[in-house]
Amino acid sequence: MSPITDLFSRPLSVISVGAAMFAEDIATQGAPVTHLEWSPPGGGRPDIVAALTTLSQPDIAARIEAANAEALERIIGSQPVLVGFAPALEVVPGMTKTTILHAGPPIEYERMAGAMKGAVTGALVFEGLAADIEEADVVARSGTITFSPCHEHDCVGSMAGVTSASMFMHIVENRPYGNRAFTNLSEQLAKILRMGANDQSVIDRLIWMRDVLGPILREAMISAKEIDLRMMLAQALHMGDEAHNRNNAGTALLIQALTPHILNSSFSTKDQQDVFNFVLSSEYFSGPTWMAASKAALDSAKGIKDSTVVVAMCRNGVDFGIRVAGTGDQWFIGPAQFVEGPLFAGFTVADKGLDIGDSAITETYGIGGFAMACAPAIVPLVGGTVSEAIEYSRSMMQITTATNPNLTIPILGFRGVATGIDVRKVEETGVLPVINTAIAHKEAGIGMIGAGLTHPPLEAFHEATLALAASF
Amino acid sequence: MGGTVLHTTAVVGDREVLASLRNPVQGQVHSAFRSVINVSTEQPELLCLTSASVPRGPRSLQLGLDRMDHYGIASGDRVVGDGHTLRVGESLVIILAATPAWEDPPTCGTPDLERVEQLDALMGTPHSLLGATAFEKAVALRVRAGIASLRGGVLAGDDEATHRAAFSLAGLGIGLTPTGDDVLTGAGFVAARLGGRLDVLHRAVADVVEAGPTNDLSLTALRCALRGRAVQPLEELYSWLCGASTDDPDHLVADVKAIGHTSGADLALGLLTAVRLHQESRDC
Amino acid sequence: MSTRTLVKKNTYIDSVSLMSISTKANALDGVTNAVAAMATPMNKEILTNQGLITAEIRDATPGDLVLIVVTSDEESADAALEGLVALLDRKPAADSPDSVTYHTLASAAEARTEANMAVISVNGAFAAREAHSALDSGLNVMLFSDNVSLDDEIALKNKAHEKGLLMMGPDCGTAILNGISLCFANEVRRGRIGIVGASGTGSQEMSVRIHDFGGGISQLLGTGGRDLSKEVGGIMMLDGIAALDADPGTDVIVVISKPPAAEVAAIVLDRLAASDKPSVACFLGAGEDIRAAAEQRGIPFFDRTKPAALEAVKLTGIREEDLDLHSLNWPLIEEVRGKLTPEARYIRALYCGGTICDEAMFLAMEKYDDVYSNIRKEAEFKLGGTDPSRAHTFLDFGEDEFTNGKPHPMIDPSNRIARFMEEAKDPEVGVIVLDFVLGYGSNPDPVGVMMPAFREAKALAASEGRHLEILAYILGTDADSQDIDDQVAKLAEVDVTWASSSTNTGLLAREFVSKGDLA
Repeated sequence: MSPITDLFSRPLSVISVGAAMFAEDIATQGAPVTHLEWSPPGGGRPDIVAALTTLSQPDIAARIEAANAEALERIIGSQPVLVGFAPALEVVPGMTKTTILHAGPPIEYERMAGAMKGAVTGALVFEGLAADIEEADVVARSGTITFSPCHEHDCVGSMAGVTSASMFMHIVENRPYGNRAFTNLSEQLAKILRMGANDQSVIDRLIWMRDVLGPILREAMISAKEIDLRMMLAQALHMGDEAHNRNNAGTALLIQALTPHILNSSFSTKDQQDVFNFVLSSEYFSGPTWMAASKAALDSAKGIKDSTVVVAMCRNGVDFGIRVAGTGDQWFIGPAQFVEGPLFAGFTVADKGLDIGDSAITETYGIGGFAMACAPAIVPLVGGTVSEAIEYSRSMMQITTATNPNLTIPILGFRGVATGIDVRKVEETGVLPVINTAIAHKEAGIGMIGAGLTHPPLEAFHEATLALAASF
Repeated sequence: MGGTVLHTTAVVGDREVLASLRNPVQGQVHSAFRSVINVSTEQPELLCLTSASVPRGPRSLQLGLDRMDHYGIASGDRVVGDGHTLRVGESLVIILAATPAWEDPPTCGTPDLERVEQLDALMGTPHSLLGATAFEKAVALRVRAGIASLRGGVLAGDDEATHRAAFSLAGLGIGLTPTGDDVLTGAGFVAARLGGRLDVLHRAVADVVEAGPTNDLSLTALRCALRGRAVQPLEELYSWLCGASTDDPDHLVADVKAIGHTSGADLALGLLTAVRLHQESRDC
Repeated sequence: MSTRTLVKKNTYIDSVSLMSISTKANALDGVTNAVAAMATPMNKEILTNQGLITAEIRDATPGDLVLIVVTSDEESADAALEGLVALLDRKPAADSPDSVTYHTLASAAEARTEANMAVISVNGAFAAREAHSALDSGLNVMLFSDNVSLDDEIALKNKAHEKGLLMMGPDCGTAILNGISLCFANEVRRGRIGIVGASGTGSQEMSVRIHDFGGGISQLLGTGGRDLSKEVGGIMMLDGIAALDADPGTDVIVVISKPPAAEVAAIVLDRLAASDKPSVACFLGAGEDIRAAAEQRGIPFFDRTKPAALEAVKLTGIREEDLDLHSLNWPLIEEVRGKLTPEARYIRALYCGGTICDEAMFLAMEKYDDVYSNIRKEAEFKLGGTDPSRAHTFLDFGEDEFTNGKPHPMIDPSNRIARFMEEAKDPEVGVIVLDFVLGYGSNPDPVGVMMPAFREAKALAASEGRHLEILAYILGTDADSQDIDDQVAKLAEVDVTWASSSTNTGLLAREFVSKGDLA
């Protein structure tokens, strides 16, 4: 009996794509039918469709599957561990006294967004490379400063992500792969360098962080030796964080681990109290920690030939850049997007800056927006409903390769977070990764004006798809 | 989410609304949707608080919010304005200071014949019977008949016939603003702008508003239309018809069609009907 | 018929929800009509006319929402009203936690393991890709999309053949599988006759004729319009015949198509001959050589749909004597001949369905030499989309030159209506022929939308003192949702003659305008 005849003896069960009326008519007749929410692959662009066809040829697809499996094994098997704190100049590869690292893909000073320029000039004053902000602007344009993305120095930076030589950095080591990742310390309150503020209060705080906070943390970590960040992150997710915009639990766990060692340090009680109060002033303190942990895990998959897994998503307030495991250091760029969400009082949509920061590394790792189902309490901050928040953690499965059994979501039956964004799946489904992030004011010096959800531009994925197809 | 009060600014507001809100006002929420919250006060027309995605219009305040349904606001909630802010229910406060006023497009001449033809072609056939229920089919047929009678009445300058035709369209159809009302709104708006032979139409629509055989949302729109005011996409479309500098007309039409579900198309149908009437009555 | 009514006081519902209520409500079990509208005086008047008014509705004000469901039986009425109310409460944006959205065929097929059929109607540029994905996932495919390349079609059909799956299409508009009608198809009796059709309306016509003659359809498989070309070689047709051959539910196999390429015809006929089951071959407009080839192999051959359908039902044991054969109405033919002026000599046929247009045209060509069409291949008889009619003209409005970006004429009749009015003005026109297709996918009231045009045309002819014969064919059954009796009644209202089959339509048309003939 041919398989077609076999069809005749079973109930008809249909999957429909295209005109909805055909599906409706089938449903009216009582046959089960699923109608797809379909959009043309590659946004309908013939060159992308051709590239996807190339990538789906059996031999090439097999190579990609094998490479992606290896990438996921590394990302999931990575165990980021906090091993210490030290100034950037001491530990960050390629750092110099006149280097300024920034968030997002490469960008020249002249083209930087307002908030980033504010942070750059503030950092130059902090480092003593300029006397004031006006002079800092001149210095920035003079050609004597080296600007480079954090990502290209094993670093990540939140919001403007401006990192300079004297800033203390988290040192995160990835066991068993041995690579390291770094990020600076949260300045905590809203009027901060990372949001583009650069008045004296900002500089003063940076100085205190350099002279007191950083050294205390360094000494505490020498005593503590190491902190297992993957395990702490898993606990934080179970306690209602998603580790990008909501970090209440993570911060509590981190400072809890550090407290005995801070108390043990050689600093005065007053300094220690200042540190505790500083951490208390904002639950964001551990935000950068999870970013560095994510970066460490994803970097272990960098350079796996033939892999279509995304290893970095980042923005500089002008451009959105992604990097893919199989195409090495190449940046694929599209325009940074607006973030949609409720704004704080007094601000309007006209004030919004574009999406900025390396913090999308958390979504790239499978946490942040991908783990929103862990954090229903985030809904008032970013808008939407609790059901929608949960649904995002489900729907991201359609564009990822696997789930991470080490980082699980209780309400979804302890299913692991969706991990390993596959460029091909984004193009096929038209579903873009969701990013859960803060909204900064478009002008320097003002700071955070709200929070919400955004997506990378499809253009960046188009560029990556074309490059991947060409590489086979 | 309980207990939080969101303070937000009105991004832009209708000039008349902003002026009236400089005085204290009391009211209540008439209806609340995802993109609009309608407020009733002592004024006959509703006040519309809209999200950023809804087109501007008379009687509206556009807020910098993407959605209006997250704040637990429901029909009957108290609304209090003190001249500087508008408090809606327990969880939303709208700050009015420094809210700029929406500018109407400049008044212009009369519709250009060629552009009218162009618009006609772009609008296509309204109200196909495809997929229609028995009720919808009856509505569609009556709308066609009502428009035909309206035309007859206006061309003859017959007050009674026009009055009857307008009443046959009032409250007719499905939708928050029923189809027939949208047609009358579009037509009434043009009648207010052009006057002349269309005065008979204006009077008929005014009679409908007076008698009120439809819901508050439609009545608000109709009243504004009689003052020559309509939602921004329709006003811009009309300005273009009268020769205003061109946006690509496809875009203007798309913006109008995007209003509501079929409201936009129905408004345009009313507008076109009245514009044609104006041209024809000039020819006789 | 049972009615339930609910008035929700002072309730304003979002426009989008209100509008989608009617369409969704109509899909609820047993619902024949549904209303969700504000209680304005005008709406109340309509409800009164439709017999749906109640005291509660009369008392309601324009700010109140009226909900009404009408069901075919009492049992489903309460549930239907609850269903309607539930539709209102459901937020359009929030998904219920149980409903999952799929964006690709592969992901849906993976999750829905019992799925066995993909119906694909996306833009032609993406259609082949989706079809490959469906076949790779082990699904049978119905590919409604057209504008798929020949190479893609061959590759898809070869893949399907290897996997033992159906690859119906591209450009396949009609199929009935396991009693479920897909895309454009009619509601027909289930029975023992299997059809493999290389043409949409041809398959529809065959299924409807069989139903009318008391028979039923086991399976109706489509192959797409290009399957019987030399290049494709009938891959799907052969697989379809093989499947019906092996199907215990099928006793008789019918094949219908426009004329195939000669070599492909031979292969198909061979395959039919190799089956133990009786079969019928219907190739419209086929020449003598194909007829001979069929006869040689002992396969009943017809170039008209009605006798083919009759033969098929006879092969299942139904007796011809028991049937109403709808023989040609010669008295009517004489009458119409008498009414027409000598000048009114031409047929103008304006069709939505391509194959039935073909059938009527071939019938005309048996009798007349001057038959022009947009679907004739010979250059001297070919008409383009903007060419005026000449002599006898048969137009298929479903072809590209007429559709040109607009929806198919079965859905949007405006092109055909415009042409109809032109033909009606021409005193040389003896009969205008129109088809009205019922069933799934078609217009809910095809005759209704033509009524104003019919009235105008008849009035015009009358004012000029001539008879204009309008001949309509309604392709449908008593089970289709469009109420065929109502459609026929409308035709009678405007003095439009209606034919009982596609074959009869073609015969009547050519005979009506025959001059100086002895029949």
